[in-house]
Amino acid sequence: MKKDITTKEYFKKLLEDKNIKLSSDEDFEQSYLSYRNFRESYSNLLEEDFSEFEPRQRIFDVNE
Amino acid sequence: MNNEIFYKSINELNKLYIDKEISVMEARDSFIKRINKINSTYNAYLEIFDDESILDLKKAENIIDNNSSKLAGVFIGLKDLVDVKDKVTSAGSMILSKNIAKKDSKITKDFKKNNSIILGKTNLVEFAFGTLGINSNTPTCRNPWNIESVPGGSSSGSAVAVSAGMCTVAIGTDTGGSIRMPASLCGITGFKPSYGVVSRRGVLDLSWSMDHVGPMARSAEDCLEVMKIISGFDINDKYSYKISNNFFDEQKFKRENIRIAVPTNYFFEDIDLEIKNSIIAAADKFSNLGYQVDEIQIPFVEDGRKINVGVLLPEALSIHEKYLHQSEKYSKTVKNRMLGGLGVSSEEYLAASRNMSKFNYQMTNVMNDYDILLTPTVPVRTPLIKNSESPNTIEANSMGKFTGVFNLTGQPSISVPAGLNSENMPIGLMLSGKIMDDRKVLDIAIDYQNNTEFHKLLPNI
Repeated sequence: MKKDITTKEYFKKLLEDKNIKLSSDEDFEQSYLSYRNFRESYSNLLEEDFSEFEPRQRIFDVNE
Repeated sequence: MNNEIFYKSINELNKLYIDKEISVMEARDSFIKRINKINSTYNAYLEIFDDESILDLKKAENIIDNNSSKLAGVFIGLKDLVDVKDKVTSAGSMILSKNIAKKDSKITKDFKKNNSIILGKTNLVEFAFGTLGINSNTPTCRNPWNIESVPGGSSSGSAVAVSAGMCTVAIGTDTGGSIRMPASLCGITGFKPSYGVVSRRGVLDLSWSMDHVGPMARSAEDCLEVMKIISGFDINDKYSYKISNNFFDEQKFKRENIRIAVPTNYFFEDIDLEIKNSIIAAADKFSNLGYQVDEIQIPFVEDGRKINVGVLLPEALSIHEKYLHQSEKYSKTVKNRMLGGLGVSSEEYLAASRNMSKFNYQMTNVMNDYDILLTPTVPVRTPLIKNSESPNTIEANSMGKFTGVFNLTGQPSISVPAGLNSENMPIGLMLSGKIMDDRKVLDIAIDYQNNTEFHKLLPNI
């Protein structure tokens, strides 16, 4: 529960830093929900082993 | 004749012109009358170029013969992310409602050079950032198969314009499925080319790693005709790939030499049963036609969606940095979704981007053994408009689950109609090929459509 409040406060700070004002609590909650889902995705992505790969490459010759 | 003109293919329209059975002027008048009559119901177009297109059609009228471009006199709708000189490119937003383009986009030039008739700008999700086709800034775009249902997005108006016979071809953009999803929901064909094959110069960005521009039409054959004129290297688009001059030339193939993979994990899990059954029937059809069809597993594919979003959201936020202080001008759904990407560190973005490369390496290994991946386009039934206001509905979050995989990899990918469900709503089949194998994907889709009737089904307008 404490962690959840901390994350929410951090999200509020991110909005303030960007001078983004949301019109209602519901508007904030929906944005926060997207933010929370997205943070979860990132924590999974960072667990992957991607050390052998350059960013953003699409074409590989796998027969090499 | 006039009532039939709205659903003619490019080749059929071209033949009518050459045989002098109809003039471009007559055809254009019919389209404009139809648009004026039904656009207030479907809201496919945001702006109709009823005066300007007259200039184009006079040129087209004079040059059409057996040697002219097949796209001459063909009626085009452009998603309102695509610049047309001296016209507003609004991106369906309030923020860009007065954004007048100084130049034509590369593809607008291509259409003008080929004497196509651009009928207007089509509706879309604000800044192309959404899957259902809902945009509170613009008149509500409605699915021609049921006007209470969403059309899918973000190229909602383009799909609806083709489906309702308000143009022959439309242009969409696709960052996570925005051509293929509305094509699937509206019962038309939508093609996302390989990354870099169509120039994005003069088309507003959503995410430069994932953005693609492509055609939406009644058939894969029409998509091919459009690709022939809008593809090619553009030195002014730094993401453009050099492709050979014969990239879209006919490649004869034998069905028995084509290997089609049906990935049974992920793409067939947690999906609507009627969609699942239609796609299995499509796989059987390919098998009966003589193609090699294998069921496979692609364990890593379930990571695709999160990598797609992990790259897309920070790029979208970076593009929108200069507008976000005007947050009150964004629609709630787009704003709520976009703000989810706040606070991404450079390490996190690079991790997503390197995961993208790893994913693409793994996919290249799969595609080494197969020509086509056969999957559903979307996992869920078409939701009603009234249930689609929130940015976080199940449908909104899962609609792009399958399509987004191929934005990550940049593979060519097409959605073609594969039947109707029990609610008389279209079901889409997605065929995705090896990167830079665009012609083969289109040829196989054409072969499927030559042997099925689903793409000929029309909504009751």
